[in-house]
Amino acid sequence: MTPARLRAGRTAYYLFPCLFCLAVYWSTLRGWFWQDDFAWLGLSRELHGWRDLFHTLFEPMAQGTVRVFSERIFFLAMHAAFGLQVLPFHAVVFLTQFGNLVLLAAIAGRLTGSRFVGFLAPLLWTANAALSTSLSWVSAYNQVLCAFCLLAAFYFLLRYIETNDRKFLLAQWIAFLFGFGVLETVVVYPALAALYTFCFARRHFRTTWPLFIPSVVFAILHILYIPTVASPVYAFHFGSSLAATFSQYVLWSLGPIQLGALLGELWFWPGVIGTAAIGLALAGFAAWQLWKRNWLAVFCLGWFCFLLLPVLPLRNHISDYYLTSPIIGFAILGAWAFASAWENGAGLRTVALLLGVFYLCGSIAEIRCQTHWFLEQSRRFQNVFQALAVTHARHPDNLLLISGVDNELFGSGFQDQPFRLFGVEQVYLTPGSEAGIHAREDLGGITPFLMSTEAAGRAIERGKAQVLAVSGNEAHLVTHRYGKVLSAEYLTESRGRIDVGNPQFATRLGPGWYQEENGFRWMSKRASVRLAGPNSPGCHLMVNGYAPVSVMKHGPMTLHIAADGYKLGSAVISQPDRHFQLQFRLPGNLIGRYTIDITLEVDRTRRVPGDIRDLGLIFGTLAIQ
Amino acid sequence: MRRLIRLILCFTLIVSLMLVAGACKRREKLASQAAEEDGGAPVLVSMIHMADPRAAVQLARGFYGVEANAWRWTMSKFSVVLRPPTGAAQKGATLRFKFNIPQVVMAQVKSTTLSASVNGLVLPPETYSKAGDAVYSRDVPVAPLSGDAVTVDFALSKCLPPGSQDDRELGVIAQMVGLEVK
Repeated sequence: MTPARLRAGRTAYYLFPCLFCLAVYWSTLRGWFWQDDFAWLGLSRELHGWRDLFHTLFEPMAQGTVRVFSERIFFLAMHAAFGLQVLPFHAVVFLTQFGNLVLLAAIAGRLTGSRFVGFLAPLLWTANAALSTSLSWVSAYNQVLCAFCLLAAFYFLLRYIETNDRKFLLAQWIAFLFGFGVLETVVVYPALAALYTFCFARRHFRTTWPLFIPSVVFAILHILYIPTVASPVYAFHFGSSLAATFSQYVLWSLGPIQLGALLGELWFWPGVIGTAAIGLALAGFAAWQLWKRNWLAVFCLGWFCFLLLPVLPLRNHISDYYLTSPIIGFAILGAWAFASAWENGAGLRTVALLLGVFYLCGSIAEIRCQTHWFLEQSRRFQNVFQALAVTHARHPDNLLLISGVDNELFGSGFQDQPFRLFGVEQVYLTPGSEAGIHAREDLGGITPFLMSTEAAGRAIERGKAQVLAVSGNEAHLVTHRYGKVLSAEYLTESRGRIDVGNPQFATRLGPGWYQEENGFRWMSKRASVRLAGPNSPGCHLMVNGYAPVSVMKHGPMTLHIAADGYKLGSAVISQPDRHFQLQFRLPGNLIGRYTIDITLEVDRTRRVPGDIRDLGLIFGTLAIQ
Repeated sequence: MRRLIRLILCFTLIVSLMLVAGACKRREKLASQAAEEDGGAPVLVSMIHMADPRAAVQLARGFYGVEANAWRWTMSKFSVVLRPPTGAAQKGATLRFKFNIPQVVMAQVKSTTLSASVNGLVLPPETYSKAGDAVYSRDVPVAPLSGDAVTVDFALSKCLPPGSQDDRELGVIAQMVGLEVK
């Protein structure tokens, strides 16, 4: 074979898994930011100078983590360079993952001495649905970068063992130490290195011991300086739950066991049986290798177990992306098992082929469902975000309200303060639309998003608020129509009360009123309003008004009040320039009436200079209590 | 190895450029969508089809997101705001609520009573004990229909509480609700 062909073959060998990865996860490139992404994107707002840099980079945040490279610098730098363009973020994630695939191919090939295994292992890893979140969600980049650190460190360890060249030992240390700024999981790398050298390169076993020092120091610093997280979601639980959590992760790792939940009940049993078969086959293969005293199976299982250990106590936060690095162990074992079966007769070859096809097809179906879900959620949020941003740009001084937000949309990022990215600290849900939303209490709950019906109505009426309605994947500006909706709701809620100075109540006013002036209204000699009838005996009509000195110059005025023709009583208003509050008992025969007409009449009116109106008294609210 | 890294970098760059071009087109579309003002259609409707995005603002409370581009689940209490049809203030109107009670709900609740009020005026309730399509229809007198918008509040006596299958409180599947002139 010519050198050119060799090079082409080698290139294809490493490039094919990358192309496969890109094909399987292509749709994730169209996804947008989601949840924690907004919190990290907002970091740049806290950075006002060099003095803030240390705080921004090293202060524990988000469950007490300090992931300097994978979160802080990654988001700060990418946001500074590309703003809210998500594609460059995805490009970095995929580029890192391509590096992971190349490293895995090199490692698996070296561990087993088979280029076929080296070719298969990245494919099996890529096809595992546990990777779908890590490759879709930008905030899960820490998982991908952590896998890179672990694979790179281990690759350099293998190269050091092969060559005894200390530059590889140094490279291993650099990759390992870099990992502490990526993800806490890296603390278990020394255990992996020790396990491998103990099994296969005993003379290098001692060289792995110093690796434990940074891990122990990191653990001590973590215990001493990282505040405990109050949220029950991230609380550590030790005990019997560890086994249950471990089993859950094993099931997710082996194959497409979630087919039933994702594709429909019809696929439940195929998913369970197929995954069980894969698990049995892998267990059988591992047992057979151990019986032959081939300790590589121990290393593969150790890789899975050691890397899973740090997240096992998080029983309330079982997440597929935690499997990103651990399942590399299963991928190597699976590829090795497949290659061994392929070489050991038609029967085993057929079984391996069937299980391999089921794993690939089932897992890719799961990945498509999960990435599609993520794509839909993130793009839906993007639509709402952009609609709100455009609205804010046009009405920078207005409050923003949004209706039709469901639990999934709310959970996509509302509590991660995304709107501060375009300069708005708070967006409000329209009154009542919060029902059915389960906000996370550890992130502040639903309260910051609430606004009373009265306050919302007032803001809309004064042109101080804009309202968007979400329906499906779209968001539309509906301020005027929502104002009508809110007004109708408010009127229904307050049928037993009227504020004659509030234009919202104008439809409840009868004849005899003048124009509203600064929150109050003048009556003429006789005026009326409509209220709901009392709903129980003993109710009173409360009347609030004002008697300006301009109409009281000729002495006290008498006010007569009637309800649906029944005289409720009279009152003499004698104090000028004073508020008055009157109370009249309502007769029992008005109980249960849908509406009653309240009539107000004064014994005389007066004209003031420059005003042609016949003025009676000024009124504010009338209410049945 | 260097050639390989160069190859992967070039490949990523090309893919990124292709996607940036696609993303730019999409942003233009979104911006124009967000630019739509509601000034052209400020009037409320009398009849709401659950999938109509323009009428979504009138689903005041107690409705979940639209599903299958046709219907929405309700909670146990839900409200809509409707424009009384022309002439309703003189002749009254008929309230119609078209919905479906799925077997999964009926199997658990056995029967449920739907009550409604229009601007606070309570209408006669109706009890449903069979799964399937149903229409709640009631005459509404003139009194509550005088304004340019009325609130219709519905309440179900029983519904599916949040559970393991669905963490939402589920009432009925709403398809259409509105006022028709008599």
